[in-house]
Amino acid sequence: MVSDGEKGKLEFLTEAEEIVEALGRDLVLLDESLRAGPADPDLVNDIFRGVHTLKGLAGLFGATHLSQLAHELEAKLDDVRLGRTVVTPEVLDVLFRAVDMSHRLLVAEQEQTPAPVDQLESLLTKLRGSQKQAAGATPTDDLDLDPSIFAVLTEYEEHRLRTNVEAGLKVYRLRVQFSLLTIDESLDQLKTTAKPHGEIITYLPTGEGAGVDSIELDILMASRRTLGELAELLSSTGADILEVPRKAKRRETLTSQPPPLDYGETGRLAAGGGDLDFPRGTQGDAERRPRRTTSIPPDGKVGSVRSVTQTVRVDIQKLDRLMNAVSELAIVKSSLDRLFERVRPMTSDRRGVAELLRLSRTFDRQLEAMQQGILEVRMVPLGQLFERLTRVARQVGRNAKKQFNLVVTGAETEVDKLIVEELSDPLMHMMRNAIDHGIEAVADRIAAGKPEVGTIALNAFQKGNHVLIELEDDGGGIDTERVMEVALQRGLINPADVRSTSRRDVLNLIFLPGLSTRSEASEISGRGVGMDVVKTNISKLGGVIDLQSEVGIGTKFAITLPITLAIIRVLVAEVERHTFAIPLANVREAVQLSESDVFTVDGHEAMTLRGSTLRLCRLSTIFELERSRAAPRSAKRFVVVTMAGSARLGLIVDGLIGGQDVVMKSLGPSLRSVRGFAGAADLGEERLGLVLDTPSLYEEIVASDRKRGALARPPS
Amino acid sequence: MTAMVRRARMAQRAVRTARAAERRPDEGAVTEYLGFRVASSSYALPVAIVREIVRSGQLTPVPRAPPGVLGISSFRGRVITVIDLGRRLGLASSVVQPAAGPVRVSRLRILMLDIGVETLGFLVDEVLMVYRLSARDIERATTVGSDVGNHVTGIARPAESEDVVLLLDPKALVP
Repeated sequence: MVSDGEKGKLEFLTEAEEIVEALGRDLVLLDESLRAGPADPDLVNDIFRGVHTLKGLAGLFGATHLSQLAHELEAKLDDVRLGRTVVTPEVLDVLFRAVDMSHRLLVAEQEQTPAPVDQLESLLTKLRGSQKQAAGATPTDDLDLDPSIFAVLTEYEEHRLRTNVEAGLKVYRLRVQFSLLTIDESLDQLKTTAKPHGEIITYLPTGEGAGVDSIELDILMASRRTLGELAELLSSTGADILEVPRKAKRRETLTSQPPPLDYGETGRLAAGGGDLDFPRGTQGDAERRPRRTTSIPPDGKVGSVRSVTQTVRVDIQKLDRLMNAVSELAIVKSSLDRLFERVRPMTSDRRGVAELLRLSRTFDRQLEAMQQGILEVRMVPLGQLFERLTRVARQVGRNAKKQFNLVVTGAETEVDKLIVEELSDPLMHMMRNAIDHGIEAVADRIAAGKPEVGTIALNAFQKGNHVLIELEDDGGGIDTERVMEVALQRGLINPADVRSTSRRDVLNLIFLPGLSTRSEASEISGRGVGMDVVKTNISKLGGVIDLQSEVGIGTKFAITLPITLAIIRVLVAEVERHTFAIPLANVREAVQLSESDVFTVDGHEAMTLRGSTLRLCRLSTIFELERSRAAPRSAKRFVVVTMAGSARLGLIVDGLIGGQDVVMKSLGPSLRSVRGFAGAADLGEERLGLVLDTPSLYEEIVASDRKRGALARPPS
Repeated sequence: MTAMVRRARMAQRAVRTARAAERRPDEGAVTEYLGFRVASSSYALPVAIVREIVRSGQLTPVPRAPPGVLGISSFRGRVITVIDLGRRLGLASSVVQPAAGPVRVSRLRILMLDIGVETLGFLVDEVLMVYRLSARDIERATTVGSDVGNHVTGIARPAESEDVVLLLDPKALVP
């Protein structure tokens, strides 16, 4: 059992991870918005708040390193949002690295491994250094504002006000009344309406003019619009708008002349008094300016004080247990059905039988709904993973000095949570490869007559019960001759086979361990360790990876994955009284076998199916199953045509039992070394069937062919 | 249900054993061992690692599995690897039928043991009783010949048993 402390820690890790994810997302947005113009102050402020919350969390749970990092990061972001630091690409880079480090620290915390202290130190130094580059602030004195306003403005708000005034924007005061019941929505609505026309600097309660169940707010907003325009644009909000005039002269009027203020032109919605009347109670401590004194919680705490969304975080293992319980229930149900069939002839109670049948059908329907429901809960959009990839791509691109646009589509495509987790590393690696080995240097691209800036496309979409993820680049493509050369050098391919090896097969050589075509391995992609791991990881998920590549045009990887791991549809087949389940995702068709159609090529069995040669594999041979006397040799056998990428393999079985939905369970650690099985599944009546791992069987056969070929014809 | 009955029986035996132990004072710390029979010898394992004792159910053989692995079985919603303890110890197999098709080994017992991270099932010919043994009752094993030697940590001669009981090292039983 998990202790309360551990549980708390787990929740901390999950929440912190979510914040870090959000930070990364916002930084990517910031990066994009910076290309278009000045940084969006709201976005910067969001990032600041996120880091602030993270700092609090880390402190609470004694994550010292993370808290240290968040502290420095917060200071840096504070400088950014207060305009003391200009967001240059270098600054952005440090911010990205800090987010990355936060993630690594969390992982270290979770796995109880030592934190990368040295790298953290150097990052902290970077964060501390190079501050205060921006010009000193200019006073806002020429603005005819009640000094009491300044008293309640936070440093940040004052900075925003100043920035806007400097930029020549007009300052308006919007007075609105909100019902206390709906204040959150109303305020959000107002913000959304006003946002395109300017910047909301602050909102404060007036402390008057409102009934018991409503509140009056003064909103300070900067805008380029004239009062008339703004009044028109915001008419739906019911706000009473005044322009805060500027003074011709400097400070003395402000100090000598206390409120009430002299407002200029009044908007057409104007009503009642024009006083900018802020709660006096907050004026006292002008030095350490208080944050807002309304019912709105202090900065950065909004998320933790009140739950914003109606969601629950659930440990995936709990869902697995639930799924187990449901499948046990399904088994109990089928036993009940059998029992009922047995008892049925013995009863004359027709009405009772009819009632039982009806109940049984309802039961089945509900059971199915339950399974479906649990499956849906496990599904998450690929978006989170794609955002992480975008971040990595940006970083790698900078380091490798490559220029490219990353185009992402289908981020909303949903996949089983576990698959998303397992997909993370392979995709990261492929992305690195695309940037490092795919996209050429700018000069080379120009020389090749290609656009200067490369393109990497990351697409995801659903196709039946599968999800396809494609990673495509318009880079240099894979040089098959070079691949062949290296494969020959390393003895991965037989010289005699060079002519007969198809282009496709050569490309697939990159999935072999120890093949890297780049003469010098780069720091980013490493030395040919990778694509074999990528392939293994993906086939573990029941998926396949395929690639196409043309020299000078680009490379495209396509990963096909099942949508969920929990329940899979299998074809149950029998071989020598053993029962095996073959995932239907890997099955193309099943045909009857007539032994006379089988011929031998290069020492292995094959047959012709729909005009092309199909490699055959006898499961009884590959698994060395003892021949049972029960099955006569002449019995009709079947060929189950399975797919491994675009390659086909025909598995010879003795009999087909039928299709079934099963919950796949993994074999225990003691059987980890046994290859060829993806797991086991309960086939009913407490009988387990082994689920075949067809991609790995195919791999095995290809590998043994290669070995045999190399033995038969030793290289001269 | 059956597990509870078995537990109760084991507890009864334990009480009996404890009484037997009372007659011999000055024993030092006592550890409980579950005694069972494989082939014609008696063995024992610490009771602490025994999760449950079950009648053997449906077993699905696993091709390519390490020698001694009988197959897999569904136990409380999980897939458990079941090992033929006799073969693992290099003795006669408890399974008469060769490993083709679902094996039925109805009169035998499977000990569900927690070893390391995994729960493993071990097929034994018969479960005997719980022995309470103190360090004094156990001789270090040094000269037990054959394959069994690698799996044995000690030899005991419990008062309740006429035979010698070989104490097994659970970790050495994992295939």
